[in-house]
Amino acid sequence: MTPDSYKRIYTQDTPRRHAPVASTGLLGWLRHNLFRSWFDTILTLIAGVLVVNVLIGFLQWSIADANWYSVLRNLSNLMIGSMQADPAAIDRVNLMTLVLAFGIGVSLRAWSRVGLRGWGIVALLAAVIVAVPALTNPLPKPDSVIVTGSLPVVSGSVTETPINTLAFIGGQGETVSVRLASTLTASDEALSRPANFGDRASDALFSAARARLASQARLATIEASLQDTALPDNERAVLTSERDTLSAALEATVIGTYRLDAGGASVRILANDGITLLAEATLTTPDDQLTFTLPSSGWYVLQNTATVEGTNVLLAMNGIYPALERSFTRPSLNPDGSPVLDPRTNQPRLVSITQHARVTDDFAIAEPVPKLDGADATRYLFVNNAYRGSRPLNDYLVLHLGPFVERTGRVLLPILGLVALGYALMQALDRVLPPTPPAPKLSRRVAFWMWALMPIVIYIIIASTNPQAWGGLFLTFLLTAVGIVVSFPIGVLLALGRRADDLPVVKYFCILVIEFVRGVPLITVLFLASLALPLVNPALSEVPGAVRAMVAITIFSAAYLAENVRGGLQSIPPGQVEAAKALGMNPVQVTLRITLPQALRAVIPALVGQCISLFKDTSLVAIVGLATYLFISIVYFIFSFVMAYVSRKIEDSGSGVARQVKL
Amino acid sequence: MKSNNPQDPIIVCNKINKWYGDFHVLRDVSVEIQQREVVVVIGPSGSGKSTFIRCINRLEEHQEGDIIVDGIPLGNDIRNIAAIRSEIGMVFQQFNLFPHLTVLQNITLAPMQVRRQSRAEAERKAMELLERVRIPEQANKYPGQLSGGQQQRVAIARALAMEPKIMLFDEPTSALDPEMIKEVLEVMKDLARSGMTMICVTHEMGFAQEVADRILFFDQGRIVEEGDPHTFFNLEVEHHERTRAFLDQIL
Repeated sequence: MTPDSYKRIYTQDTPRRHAPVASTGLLGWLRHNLFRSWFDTILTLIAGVLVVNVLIGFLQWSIADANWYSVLRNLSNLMIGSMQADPAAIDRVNLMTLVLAFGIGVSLRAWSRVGLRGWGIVALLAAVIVAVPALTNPLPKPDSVIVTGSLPVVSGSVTETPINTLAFIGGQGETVSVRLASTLTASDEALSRPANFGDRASDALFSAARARLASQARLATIEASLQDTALPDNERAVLTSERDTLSAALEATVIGTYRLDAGGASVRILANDGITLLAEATLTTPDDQLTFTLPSSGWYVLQNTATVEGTNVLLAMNGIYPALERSFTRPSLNPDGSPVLDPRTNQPRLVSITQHARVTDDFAIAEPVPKLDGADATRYLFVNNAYRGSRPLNDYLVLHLGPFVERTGRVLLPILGLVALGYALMQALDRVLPPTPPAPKLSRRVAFWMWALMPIVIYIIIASTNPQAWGGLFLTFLLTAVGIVVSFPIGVLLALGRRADDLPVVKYFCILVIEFVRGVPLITVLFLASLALPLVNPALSEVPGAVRAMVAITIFSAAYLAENVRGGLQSIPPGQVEAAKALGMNPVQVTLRITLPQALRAVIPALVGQCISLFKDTSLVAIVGLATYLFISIVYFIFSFVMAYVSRKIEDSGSGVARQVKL
Repeated sequence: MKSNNPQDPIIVCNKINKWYGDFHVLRDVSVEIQQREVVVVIGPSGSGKSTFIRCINRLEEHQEGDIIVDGIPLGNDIRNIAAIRSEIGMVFQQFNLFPHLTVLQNITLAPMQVRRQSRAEAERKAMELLERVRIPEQANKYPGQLSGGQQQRVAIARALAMEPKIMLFDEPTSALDPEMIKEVLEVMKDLARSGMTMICVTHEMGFAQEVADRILFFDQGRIVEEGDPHTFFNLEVEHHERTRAFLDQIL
């Protein structure tokens, strides 16, 4: 068949076409990533159902039940810890944040480029920050419900007393109103489904109503079962006795028991002396309402009396919300704003301050609690007057989402602004003074020097604040930044030192440092820094704890970085060093120009991991002081050392890198 | 530097011996190489030819014997090693370009770092060299973006940027596809014609026949035969038995 000489020339050209639609774009992505095979499809569907379920569950929990108050109220605590007590310190932290934001803006322009999409995201974020509070603030806030009267409310094993006098806080010009909670007292049904702030007595009422409804439902089930003629006698006896017990206890409704619909109440608002009458009204019908505009910010007293003896009245208040009590110390200030100095120590004199802050917004006052008959009045506090029932969306928006976005927005908007400002300035700079091609952009030079000077600037800004008060995210960032910046060069030097086969003393010193530090837990290094060092040399106890923690974290992080960098150095092919040496470069040049840049690039994931774990490990600073750790650390050391030893053996066995290059 | 007399050999190797552990890889290797001479080193793999040329710029350390390059004795004196390395350019089988630098930066790095040239001067020189190896348009690419042949030509340009008196080639075409071997060999031929002293370890017999002034044949760590290419590749004349076996394999 095949001739000795065989040739075929293909002259017909196949035209180029677009890729099939199903292999590109969104459709292609879906097909490629989610539905590649029947197995992938099943996994995708299962994962999809799981994700949707979890998301729905999370949303429901987050809207209806989650307690966001601690996050919302403690935002500044989370950010800067106890520094929040000192206005001067807050200003300095804010200034530092803004300087950093500006620096980030400058760097974005210098080393990267923010496209239309990037600015779109920023604009969207800003729009959300502005729009969410604007949309949620006008929404009606939930009522605050309290029980007034003389009958103690019993639910299960708890007995709660109604509140007849209540001290609350409010701002000037705010309108408060009090009326009968007639929607709740319409029926036990309604009473069992609250969605409002409520005092303990009202919560007991709600529980009692829920319990009664549950008993009713159970009774209905029992009755239905008893209709069944086939029911065995012994079971019938059990059910009948349960029915009798339940129905005996179920004589009256909760509303009837506490006579919640028997009569109204007279309500009076008093000034903070508990005597001066500001407003009063008698509420008998659902339409009756006491409305009062507060003449100034501060404490007020609400005094209620049930008009009919021997009844309880459920009152719904609007504009009155529970408060959180916060205590902290802050420097005592002279009238001109300068701190009062203690003549003996020359340190600012600290005063303790108790503040009451409303949970629904950031209204807060530091005035003393009103005295009634010589004792502090019952305050309308969040601990006793939590939100009762499951939150509807409206209450979630107005109580949590809106305030959260508003408060974080107050921080984020200036930051975004400063980032944009830094970027815009650098863009203008590059435009006005365009670089000549081989030279880098001017903004890059500016950014470089800016970051070089940044530590000094930040030091100047925060040096005058009290390190003992540093806390929260601020301290975390500070520890992380210092840890990374300082430990990086040390880590690189340790790594290079460990590979310096020509300098055995340096090499074994580096191995000693690395293995010792890697062998003990961070908590021990922190412990040594914070507790043991001052014992060794009392002079060291003068150094603030935060600074000692910083040193400890730096050394710790350097040891781990060193191993990462060493791993990178080992991954560089020997040919790289040979080529550099053949070009006449000396060992320092080879390291700085050839091996190190490549090694660091190769271990970026590990370095980032190291930075992340450093970031998280700073939380350990909080629990420094657990003495038992000193003992436990010995155990840790042994195990860590064994692991490091095994890893060295594996490296030496040749499964790591073929051979090491001597510089 | 010291020998300005063109009649003096630029490289003198006198009875070099080298061991890897207890394995004797170079045995009494003695050779003198003249200025402007092109020497091609061939031999079966494992015969020590790469080790030999790597000893000349001290990438490998020899234990016995003398190597004198351009009048400078090669020993443990770091200054001598640096001086000799700056006179010798080297091209590797695996190119060994620096992957984190662009082509231009690969070429300018050593002149700027070692010769202390200004950036402008180094870049002007680098562009000239890229013209010479016929890839000026690749100057701002990274090595990973180039074909093997292009990478090897960049490597040659990088070595030439140090203005060496001697070029060492360690199997420069062994890692290349056939169609790229030619472009690299062309550059090497140009270089030979321009009068560069070259020592090439290679399996390209055509190149050896065309360009070499002298062939060194290595076997088991020794030079067993040397000669001009015409005589060396002539099967009619008398050869060492190892050479004959080798030539029978390749011709």
